[in-house]
Amino acid sequence: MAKTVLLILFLIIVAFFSGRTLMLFSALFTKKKADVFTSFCAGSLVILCVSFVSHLLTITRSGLIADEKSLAGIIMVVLMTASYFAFVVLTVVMGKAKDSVKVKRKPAGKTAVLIAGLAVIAVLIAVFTVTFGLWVNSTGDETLETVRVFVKGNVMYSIDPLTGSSYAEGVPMRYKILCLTGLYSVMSAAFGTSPEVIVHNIMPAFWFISGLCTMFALSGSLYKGKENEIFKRSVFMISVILFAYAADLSSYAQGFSVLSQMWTGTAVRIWVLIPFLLYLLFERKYITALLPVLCEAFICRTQYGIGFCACIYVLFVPCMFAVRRFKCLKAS
Amino acid sequence: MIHFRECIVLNASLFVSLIAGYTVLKKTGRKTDDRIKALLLLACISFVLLIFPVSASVIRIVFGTYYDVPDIWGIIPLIPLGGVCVSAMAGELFKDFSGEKKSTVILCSAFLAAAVLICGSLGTPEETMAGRSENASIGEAEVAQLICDRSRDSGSAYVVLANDDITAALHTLSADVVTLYGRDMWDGRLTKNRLGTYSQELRQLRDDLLKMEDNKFYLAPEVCREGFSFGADIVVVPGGCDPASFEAEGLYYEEFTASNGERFYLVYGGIL
Repeated sequence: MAKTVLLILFLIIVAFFSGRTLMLFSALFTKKKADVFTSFCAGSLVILCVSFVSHLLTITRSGLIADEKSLAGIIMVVLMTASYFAFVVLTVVMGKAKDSVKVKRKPAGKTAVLIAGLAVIAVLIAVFTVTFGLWVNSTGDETLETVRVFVKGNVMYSIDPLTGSSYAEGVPMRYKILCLTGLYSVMSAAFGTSPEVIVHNIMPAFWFISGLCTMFALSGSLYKGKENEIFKRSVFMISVILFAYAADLSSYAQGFSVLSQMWTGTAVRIWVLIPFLLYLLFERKYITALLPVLCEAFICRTQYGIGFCACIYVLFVPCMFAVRRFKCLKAS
Repeated sequence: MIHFRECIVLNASLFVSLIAGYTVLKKTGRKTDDRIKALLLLACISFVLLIFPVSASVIRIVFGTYYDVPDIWGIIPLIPLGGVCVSAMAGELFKDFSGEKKSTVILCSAFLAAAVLICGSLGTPEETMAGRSENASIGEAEVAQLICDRSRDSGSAYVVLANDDITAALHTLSADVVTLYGRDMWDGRLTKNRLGTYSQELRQLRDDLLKMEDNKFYLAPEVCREGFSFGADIVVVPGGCDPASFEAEGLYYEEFTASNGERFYLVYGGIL
């Protein structure tokens, strides 16, 4: 139990710390500070990147979980040390360049406060549902079996997790390099937590909260400082959670995997990566926006090599250009 | 009918988002944030790319594979799009409501209510369970747990032959058990269509197990013999089988009754 609590604290601290540093660094170029919610989400992507590097190195060399555990640990220590110094330096640098104009906010009306309260309740119910695995559906997924086999045998991709015997056919490299199973196995091996708790409880909650932070940041990007800000942001949060719940009917619906399979790469893509990509695009952080595109390749098959994040990135930039151009033409 | 409803769900969410987006643009015109306009334009372009058969042909030529629309539905960021449209529309309605233009409020609230009803699953928990037949029943899960416990206690990995649900449940509970077949790695489902992964004899064996689920219990002794010849240590058969048939074959068996009353026979091929 103590080690499980330690694992949760570890995830929160690493995600926040490394994400904050990344967003502060990004803010050096755009002169726009990122809030706590964005930092947490960015940190979850940093964890993915670290996991991918250690997983790829392990797969191409020994394939032992113990090796990946050591590699991930080393990279994490180096990252945290570098992040600490960068965090201190950047905080001092950014602290000097404070916003000169402070937006004066109108007090929120009763309706807005009521809707905000409903949004908080909706968020809490959704987090509760995901954390305690109330709607878990593992149909078509074998992450838990794979993690169990990895942890038991201390070696990756030698035993078929669906039969328990050696693979009759090989595993394609495109599957082997997907890092989520390696990340979950390393956590289970390092902290002694049961694979089922990690796969069905802890990591779904982590990714879900990360996605909620992104959605909140996305709403802030659109509505911060504007009329009826609290009302619109609350409606935004309620509606995204409603869309996730309403998608439960079909496994093809976007949002199905958000409540039922949040540990999978496809769910992380839909709930975390794509909204975070949109947030970065809205904020014109076009270089940082490549991070979700890369992370998608690390955690799920990119669907015929296309990649949903890459498609959205490639389509959004010309769309934005077209809208502004049309606006200028109409104005003239 | 369920497939038809799936199509309705997929299209309804996009349709409602686009209606909401159109309403926002119509009401606010030039004042709408350029980023929202760009997102709506992106969604429209992606939708067009998905729907036109030409796109499918191009992808088939370039990548060599056929794609199904639901597979690449994700290029339309539906959840953020829906959130943006609904919140932007709600913001405008809130302004109208404050200015006492209630007809618009009523109309758009009706849209939202219709969207929720069309999506439907909020009120149909029974239907959401349809198609999830890989989830083991209480009895099957208890049998799987029993086998995993015995395998762990004995220190050696038992080889088990059982139906699809018990087979799937075994591997979610423990890595200490081996099964003669498992869910296909690529699509995660136990399929009869997967050619080349398992031998014809093994696939026939699984078919016979499925027939026993249809009350053809006379197949049980033959299934057990075949299973043992493949190397199984335990074969799990339904409780409706006649134990006399096992005795006649000289097979050692154990009856297990689960907490929900489901009965199974565990037939052993030489292990205690």
